[in-house]
Amino acid sequence: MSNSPEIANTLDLGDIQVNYHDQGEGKPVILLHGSGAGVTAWANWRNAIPMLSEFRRVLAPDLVGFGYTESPADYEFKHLDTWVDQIIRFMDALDIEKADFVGNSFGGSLSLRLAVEHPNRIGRIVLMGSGGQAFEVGEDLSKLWGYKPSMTAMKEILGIMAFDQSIATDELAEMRYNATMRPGFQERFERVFPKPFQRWADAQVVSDTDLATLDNEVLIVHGRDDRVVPVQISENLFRKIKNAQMHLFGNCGHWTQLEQTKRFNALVLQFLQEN
Amino acid sequence: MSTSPEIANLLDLGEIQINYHDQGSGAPVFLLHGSGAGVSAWANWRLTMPELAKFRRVIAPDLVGFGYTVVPENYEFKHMESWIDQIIALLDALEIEKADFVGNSFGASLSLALVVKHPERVGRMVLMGSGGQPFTVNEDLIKLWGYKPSLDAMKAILQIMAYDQAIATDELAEMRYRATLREGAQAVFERVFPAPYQRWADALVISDEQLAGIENETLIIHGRDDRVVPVHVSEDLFKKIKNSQLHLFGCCGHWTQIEQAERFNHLVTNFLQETNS
Repeated sequence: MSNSPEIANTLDLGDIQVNYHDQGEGKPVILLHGSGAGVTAWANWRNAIPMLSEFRRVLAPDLVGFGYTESPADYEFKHLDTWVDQIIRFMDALDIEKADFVGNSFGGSLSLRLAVEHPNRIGRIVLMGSGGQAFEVGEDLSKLWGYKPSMTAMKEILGIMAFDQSIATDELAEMRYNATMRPGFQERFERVFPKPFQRWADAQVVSDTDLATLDNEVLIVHGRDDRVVPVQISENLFRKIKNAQMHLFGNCGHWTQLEQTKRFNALVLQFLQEN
Repeated sequence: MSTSPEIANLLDLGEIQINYHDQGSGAPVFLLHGSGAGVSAWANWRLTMPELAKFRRVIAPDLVGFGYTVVPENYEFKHMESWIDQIIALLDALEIEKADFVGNSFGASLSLALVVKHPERVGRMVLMGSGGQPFTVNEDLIKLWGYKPSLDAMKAILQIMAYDQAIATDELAEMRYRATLREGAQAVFERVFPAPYQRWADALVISDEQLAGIENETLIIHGRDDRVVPVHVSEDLFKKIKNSQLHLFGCCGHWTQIEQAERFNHLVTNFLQETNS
């Protein structure tokens, strides 16, 4: 067995085998990662899991199409039904009736879709650099979804993600690059996000009518200098979701949970522990 | 002597006598109130002071022209010099070299004016429902600054301030109304904000150049449903102040520190207690 910290528990759902982290005790909170090349739950949430799991049961699955969750070679990805379905089956298999959600980017959009389609399964929601409103896929997001494995390309992606360019080290680039070189990973990634890319951002849009039905407590977090998902997405969501708060960070790109780790963790913990 | 909780310590600065609260110990944080009729430091910060005083020295003065701070009858109010001078004089008298500031509305704009003029005296800032960027004085703000004492007028003001109309009780309206009936209170209020009102909002504006020069860690807070100062003022400040964060509350009017008291206190506590390392 691998001793990579990215690999944790396996849950066999028949057609897919879900790799997921499961730490701590208490009311469950599910962390949903983003959709960058070489992403895993661990890569996104390694700074959040230890802190949150002191207070809550924290579950962080690799979404199908990403990381160490296995799917058949001919698996058909349907935006976003595939992932809504995976999370509901995941919760059913673990006998979790209702959970709070923390979603990053693509995982934020997925959390919204889950809340709209399965309102009785979703409690509080934290959205971070979320999609869910219409926006034009720019050059930077095209580089993310159009990634072809090379050190140069990965270094460029890290530079796009972070406000503080000193975070985009050669070491981190090498680690993320190696993740994309694992057998089958790149082929699968290209099957999740084939060109043209605009349709995959559009598929994340939640209608105004649907947003108006949400009565969940929602905390919306975004970096002021986000180059991947524009901050207006969060501003729009905030105006349309009744019980919402929005926290924006200056000097922060798309990687809020890594660039503003302490503040992000404190905010999320405070929010989840209310009541 | 009055037993009103609004009256605390008195500092005699010769020309003016400042009523101020001074609780707790540790690094000092100043709370600066807003500019509504009948306002006092206590009325604004009664839910905030006990929480912050658990770990910091909390100083909340009545600004000149408001509350129980006493000024001569012919005192001339200069926007914003009168209040900048007052706060600096208070800092000096208490031998406080530097303090963090939490400002509400007018008091938030004052915090910004202070940091621009006296950057060495100001540490972290929390701005709540702040002015400081251009906005049009609307009918609601005119009702606030143009208040003439009556129970009905006060009730209308409370309804403007709060998102949750249940907060605007007859009891609270009566209390705030009585505050405006104190001898001389209304006369001095009208001398602070004579019509036309737009110039007083304009006097709060900080230029883009000045905002770009601010390096202080700044937490900007605003209610989504604020009818007095539009939320875009805070959004504009957030874009222009480098080391800033913006936190907006849904289902919340101009009274963030009261309507979202618990969340507000947690946010401010976490922010003030961050180490700079």
